[in-house]
Amino acid sequence: MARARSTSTGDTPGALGIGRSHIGIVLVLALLVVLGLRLVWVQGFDVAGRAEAAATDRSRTEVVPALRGEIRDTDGNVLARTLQRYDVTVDQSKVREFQRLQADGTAQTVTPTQAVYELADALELEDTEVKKSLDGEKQFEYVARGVTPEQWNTVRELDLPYVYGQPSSDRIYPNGPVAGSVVGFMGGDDEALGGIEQTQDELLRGTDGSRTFEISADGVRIPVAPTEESPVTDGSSVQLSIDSDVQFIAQQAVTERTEELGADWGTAVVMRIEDGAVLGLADSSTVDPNDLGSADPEDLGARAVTQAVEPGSTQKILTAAAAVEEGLVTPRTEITVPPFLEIDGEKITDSFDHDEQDRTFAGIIADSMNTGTVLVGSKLSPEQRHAWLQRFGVGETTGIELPGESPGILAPADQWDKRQQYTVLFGQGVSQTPLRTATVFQAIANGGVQVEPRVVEAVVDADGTRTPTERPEGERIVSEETAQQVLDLMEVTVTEGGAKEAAVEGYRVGGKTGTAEAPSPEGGYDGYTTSFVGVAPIEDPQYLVAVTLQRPEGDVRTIGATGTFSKIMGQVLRHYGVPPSTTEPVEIPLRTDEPEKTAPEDAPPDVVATDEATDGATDGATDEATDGAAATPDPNATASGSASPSPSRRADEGD
Amino acid sequence: MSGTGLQRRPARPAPPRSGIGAWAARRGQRPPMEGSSARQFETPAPPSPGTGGSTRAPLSVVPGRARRGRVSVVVLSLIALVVALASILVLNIQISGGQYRLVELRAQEQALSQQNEALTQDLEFYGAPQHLAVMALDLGMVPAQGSGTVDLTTGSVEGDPVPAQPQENHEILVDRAHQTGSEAADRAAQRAEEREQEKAEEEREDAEQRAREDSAPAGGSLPAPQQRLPGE
Repeated sequence: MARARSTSTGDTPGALGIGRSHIGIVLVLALLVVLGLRLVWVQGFDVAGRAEAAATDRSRTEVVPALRGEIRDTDGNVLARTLQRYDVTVDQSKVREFQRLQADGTAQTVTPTQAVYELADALELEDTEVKKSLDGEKQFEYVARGVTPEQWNTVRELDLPYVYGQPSSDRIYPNGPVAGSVVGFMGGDDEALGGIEQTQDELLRGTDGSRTFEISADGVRIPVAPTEESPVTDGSSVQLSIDSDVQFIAQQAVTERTEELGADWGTAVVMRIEDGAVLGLADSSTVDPNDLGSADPEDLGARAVTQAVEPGSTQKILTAAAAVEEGLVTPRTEITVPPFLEIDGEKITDSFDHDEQDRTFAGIIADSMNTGTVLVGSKLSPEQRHAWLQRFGVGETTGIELPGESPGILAPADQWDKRQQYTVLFGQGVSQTPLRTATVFQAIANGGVQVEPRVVEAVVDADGTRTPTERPEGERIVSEETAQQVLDLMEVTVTEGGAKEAAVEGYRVGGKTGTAEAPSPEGGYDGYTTSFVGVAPIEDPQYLVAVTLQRPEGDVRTIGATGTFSKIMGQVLRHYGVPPSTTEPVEIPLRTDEPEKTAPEDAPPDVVATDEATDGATDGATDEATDGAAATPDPNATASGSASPSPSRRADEGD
Repeated sequence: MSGTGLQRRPARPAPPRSGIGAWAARRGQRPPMEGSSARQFETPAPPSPGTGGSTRAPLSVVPGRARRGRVSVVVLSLIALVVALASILVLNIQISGGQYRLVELRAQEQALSQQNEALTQDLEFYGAPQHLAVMALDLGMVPAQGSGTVDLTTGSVEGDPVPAQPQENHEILVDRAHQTGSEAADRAAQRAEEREQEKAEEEREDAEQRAREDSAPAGGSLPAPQQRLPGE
């Protein structure tokens, strides 16, 4: 009954409207069908590709660049950091007058000239520079690169329609030249070119991610639209064992000495003895990684790692360790030292004139006598000498995480010439990096266990997980007893021998000087390489400092590195709060006969050096051309077994 | 089946009700008053209360309820629709409002992190060892030459501490970091430049004075030997 009534109510009152509404409905339906078909056509089949075009138009894909990891020092001070920067670019073809809408609603006409002035002010550039970058027809040109976000905001507020900003990044090195050559640097195209930046690039770099999303007409992201994201993995940070303060102390001290003596360069290595961690790797002149362009190409690397030099008398410590370990001598063994030594027709002399003397082995090392060293060392066969050099790592790289490490040159024993087989005993005819020399002393000071030096302490992931890097395993080179005896030799060298300037107030230190002739790039030798390597406190050695100066100018008696060692070591010990030594230094008589010639013992260390100088000069004349083969850093020369018609072994007599 | 007829029976006016029921009841009674008379004629004559009244009476209430229900369903649907639309609107406004807020906050976050970066850069520049050393030197500080240690068990002083002595010509030889985009670095560069100028000026004055002194004993008759200027 309800149904019937409803039809009747629909029909009866609007009898006239039935036809109209039917037509209307049909029309509407037809339209709907048409629209529906069109919709299916446009949306479903998308023949014109409009939907896709719209989607493309809406969607934006951004590369999310991975943030490069930081490089930090051992205390967490940042040595390298990536900062947000912008590259300001211009579409030159669009540079023309335009109307700028101002805050009060009025429009202002901005001419290109005015734009140039405004840009120059915002970017702190010269007007002419900016003008040059805006002039032309190129669609892409840089106005300025690496501007700060603050500057870019100022530029953006200028509303120049033809100027764009591209996010970029800049690598900042807060300490600049302090440890610059260790930290390394980046090239213009974000390519790691040196130092830790280069060797740890994979860890630091991370993986770029990307993000696709849709934006509305006004540039705001549409929240409900689909997004695609591939996650970005930021680079890990690398923590070094370098201590910025120690590094600075070492750089300051070695630069001071290098400038004072007009040397080519100087280096200082500061090492923790226990684990071979490098705390400082100083160069007299160092690249400022912030300003690569103005750096001297020679300053780009850490010379203590890249430069092999003849070590000179510091190598006597290696010889002494070998001789003691083989049971040939003890520090107190008495040896009669002739004024000069004739062996295999080769004449070995000392850096000071003396008569025949009865000395202890300690006396030989303390006054750095070549004759005595060869007397003892020649009891080892050449093969044994070579084996011992090898055991201490001479001729091999240390594997430190820095690029361009030089292995040095250690010729095979059967290629040594007649003289070289003896000169290697006091560090001539063989070349090695200052870092390698330091590891020889590290082994002795560490109870005979050598740990190859490392500069990377830990890797810190982007999420903060800290993974200490694996240290190389220590290798026992000599017994603990031998190491102790050699340490005594080193202490006596400072307390009684020729290196009294190396003393550090309040501490017992030990070390060894070295003077070698520096091979000239033109062949032969010119100038000296002076060095001092020492450890402290000697009763429980904790720190090692090795100073090397290349071609210092001046009288050979005044160009040593002992004072610089003392300065650095003193500050290092104080910096780490090492308590002063409370024990008495070991005493070993240097001479067992009546000291007739008093020069080495009684005179200040200078005078010892004087002897060396004079002797060096005279000897240079006599020994001319006897042992060229020695060790030029030129591998060809050495490999061929004998080479340069080279002058002298003056440096044989290193102090 | 239709209850409308029954309800419209004037003989049975709905009892007064209260609440929604009353309202619905009032509405329910309107059609008979407004409706056309034709309807009323169409409806069959109401059966007399006497014939079968006992079975019909309970049925008369149920359709009334049904009618009330239908009206409220429409109203409720309308309300629900409005509420739903309104909430969608609010939600949309909120989401897009949130998106704008998000953009705003992102911009704020970016601005703050950029500010933080700039300040960190300045801080780290100030903290660089060579900068500290230069600043210390400017304050007249000198490097310590030795240090002592107090042994707490004995109360004795180990080592040989001496007061630091002023040092002549102590210069910081490690150059500052040449950074861009740091106010601190810019200031340091400016200071370094000033220092250099000062030094050059001092040297020049020194040289001039030396030259005057040198020329004075000569009685002014001879030209001062320029080559003997110090530092040349």
